[in-house]
Amino acid sequence: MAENTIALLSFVLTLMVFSYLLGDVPLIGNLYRIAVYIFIGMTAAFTLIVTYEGLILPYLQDIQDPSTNWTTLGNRVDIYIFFTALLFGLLLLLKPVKSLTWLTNSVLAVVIVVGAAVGAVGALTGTLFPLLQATVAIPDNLTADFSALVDTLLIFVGTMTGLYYFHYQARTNADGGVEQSFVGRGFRHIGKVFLVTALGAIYASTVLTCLTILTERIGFLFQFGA
Amino acid sequence: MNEEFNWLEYSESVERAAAEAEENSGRRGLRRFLPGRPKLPRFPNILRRLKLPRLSRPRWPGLPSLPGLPRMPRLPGLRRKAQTQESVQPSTAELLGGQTNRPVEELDDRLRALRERSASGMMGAPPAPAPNQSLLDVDEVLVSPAFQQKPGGVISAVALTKAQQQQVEMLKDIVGGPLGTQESDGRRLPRPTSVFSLSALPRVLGTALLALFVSLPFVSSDFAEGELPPVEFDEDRNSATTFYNLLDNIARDDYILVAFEYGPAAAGELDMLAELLLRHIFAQRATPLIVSSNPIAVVHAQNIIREINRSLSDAHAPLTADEDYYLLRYLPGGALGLRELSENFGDIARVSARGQLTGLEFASLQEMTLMVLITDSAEDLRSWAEQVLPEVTDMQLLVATGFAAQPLAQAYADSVEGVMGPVYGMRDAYTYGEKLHANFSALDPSPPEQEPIVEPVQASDGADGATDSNAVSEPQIERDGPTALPAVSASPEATATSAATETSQPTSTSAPTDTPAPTATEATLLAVEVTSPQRVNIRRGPTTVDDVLALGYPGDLFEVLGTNGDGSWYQIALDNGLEGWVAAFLVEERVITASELAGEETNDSASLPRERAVMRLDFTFRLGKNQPRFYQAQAPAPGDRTELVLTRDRSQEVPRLQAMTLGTLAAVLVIVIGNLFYAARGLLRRRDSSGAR
Repeated sequence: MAENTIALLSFVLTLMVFSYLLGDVPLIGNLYRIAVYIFIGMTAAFTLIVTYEGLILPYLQDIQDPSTNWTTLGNRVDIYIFFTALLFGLLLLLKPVKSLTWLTNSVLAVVIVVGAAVGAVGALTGTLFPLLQATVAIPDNLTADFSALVDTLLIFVGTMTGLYYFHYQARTNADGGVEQSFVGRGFRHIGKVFLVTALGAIYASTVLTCLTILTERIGFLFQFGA
Repeated sequence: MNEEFNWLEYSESVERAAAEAEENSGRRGLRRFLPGRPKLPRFPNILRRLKLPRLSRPRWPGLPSLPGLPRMPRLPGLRRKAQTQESVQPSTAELLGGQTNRPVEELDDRLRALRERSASGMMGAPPAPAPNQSLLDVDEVLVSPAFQQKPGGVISAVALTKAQQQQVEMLKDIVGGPLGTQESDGRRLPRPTSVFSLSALPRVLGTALLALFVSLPFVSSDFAEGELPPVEFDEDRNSATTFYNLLDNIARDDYILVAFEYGPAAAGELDMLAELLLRHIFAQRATPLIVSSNPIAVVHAQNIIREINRSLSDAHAPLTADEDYYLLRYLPGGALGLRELSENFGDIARVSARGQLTGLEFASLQEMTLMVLITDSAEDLRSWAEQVLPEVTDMQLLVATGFAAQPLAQAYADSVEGVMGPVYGMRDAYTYGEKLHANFSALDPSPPEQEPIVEPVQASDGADGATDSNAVSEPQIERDGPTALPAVSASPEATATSAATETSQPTSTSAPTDTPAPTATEATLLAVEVTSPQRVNIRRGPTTVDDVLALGYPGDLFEVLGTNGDGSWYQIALDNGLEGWVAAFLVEERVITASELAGEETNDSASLPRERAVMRLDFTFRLGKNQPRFYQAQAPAPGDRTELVLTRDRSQEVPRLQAMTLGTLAAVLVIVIGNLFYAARGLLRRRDSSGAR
């Protein structure tokens, strides 16, 4: 019974989402919005539940349990961290109070700065260095394998010209116009070819993703109808 | 535009007033509030000379104003004052509202809504729209007149190249157009939309065509178009084969970290792949630890496991949380959460998503056998590659993605050591499922006639009796192909050749499983024994950045061929004739006989538990920095839970794949027709506009 109800709800919600095709028109347009609101509301509710159960509840249980030795979840430092996070969270709630907004901003500044630092370090060690290394790496069997040579050259040229495409330095002519050098324009054009090819591949991949999801939904509709 | 607010002049006048006030008081900054302090030497105010914008100071509540001192004007107050000026630049919505280059009927719904909002939110009396009024020049839009009036100010002018001017013209074409209705008081109101809006017609027709094509295979098998994906990954998909083989080589009770980084929006694409990967892990009785930085993904993972349980019959025990699998608490904070996972895994593994203690005790992430990432987003892959992978050594991250994230995933797999795969999209999922199904069908216990006849490996009387008895209880089974019935082999060396790939592994030909005692007449050789408690990497060269050729396990013996300059690496001979390097601190030198080495190899591949027998390099090749390595797939062991693979519902797979084929055709059709339509309309409009001029 419960499964049938869920399937029926899924069927109705799917049709409501598909009503978006008809545009923002009275009644029908609202169906799409209602489906989206339900999805957002349920997402928020699940997020709250998962956050409470997985993150907050363990600390509360640990604190309330008189037999705990403060080490169930790690050590005492974890508890301090928890209270610090709780304090930060409470300070965020002060955002509507204009005279205390600076407190909220200070908390946000800590989060943003730490996040930026972690992100920057990770980007260097996890993406930039390995990709750079792979870009300039010369395969062992370069002379023996022509395809390896072409592959390496393509990667190198594509990376360099792709980067150069975002280079906007130009000279000012005597008449006040702005003009890039001939070589610079050439690099930009080559870089544009690589970028357009890459973006085209990503676009095609996105279309395939949408098609996959569409087939799944339509398959579900037929399965439900059967 | 004559009454515009000159921000620079105003702020500079304020600064001048403040400087004069400070000079009059004899002190600068906060010092002017302190009585009786000697005057300090003035520090050259470089920032003031540079005329950089001043930062606002926090306004402390309750600070008493001292009599006799001038009040410093506050920047927020200036900002508020600036915002109340009537002559500030109009907003983008207002600018859009004044365009007349394009009929409003041709605008997209969202652009039309933006125009309508601009009409309803117009500040003050709207300027009377002149007929055929063109878009403001970019100089007028982008550059504040106040800045223009200041010689040498921040921006004096914007110079556009010809290409940029063309893009501006194109922008005019896109967003220009008169509003539909106008009230008598001059205030424009939103044009009422109708159910049968013509602007929605192309979209509806295109989608209807797409939906029709996609629906056909579900209606009738007569529309079964397109070939199904192969049951084995193509030869040029070595990375996908490696993905499968690595996951096929996990052992019972191994812990696999599975990252669920997708939510319900991508469920239609990734659920099939995620379910397959989980079933593969479960079937081998390994234990997945599921984590995610997305709370909804945690819930979704629970639903997938519930579906797996639902597919099992009553005769089979369902999967149990915190026993067969662990759903760990979610990782808040995006990259920060992943960083916490990599550095503080032990604490995270202690708590489940339901807030209960799991009882798991891990010192670090290194204790995982593999990491599997299932994601629909390239950003998530980037975060894992940046925050988690650099923190672990010699750990593979298997990446399963959707189509959209595949390009970036491929780049990471080709360039970043440790990233394997990707397996992506529905076609790969189908191939993976067929491969898995064929592999585990060999051990399907349900039909009695298909039950393999097992001939136990002869137990040895030697020192390795314990491991030989293990071989008797868990014989290895060889199969010839994905669909062939299992052929049972009693020869130890055959157990390592049960690969799905056809390349046979050159293993030792010495069959005896008992190890003869070394005699004085036998030649000895220098070997190294793996003494590390963990498996060790055998690399192509004597550095940690070289490719991993094979893995060595505690107790493995390898013949030493040489060392590097400082003796920190041994060059060793591998079973398949290749040569590799292993770090010296992970091994110990031993002098052994050739027969002892051969016996160790034979035992290693024949009688040890399969996690040691199967992790053998089949062949390896290298084109670039991190080309995929092949590991052999293995036949399932009798203790594997084959029902977890064989009970999978596959009824929708073939129609969906055929729908994908037809849908791709329809999508191309829609895109081509749509582009032709808009190109023709653009040409017609251009001809009309040139005729009007």
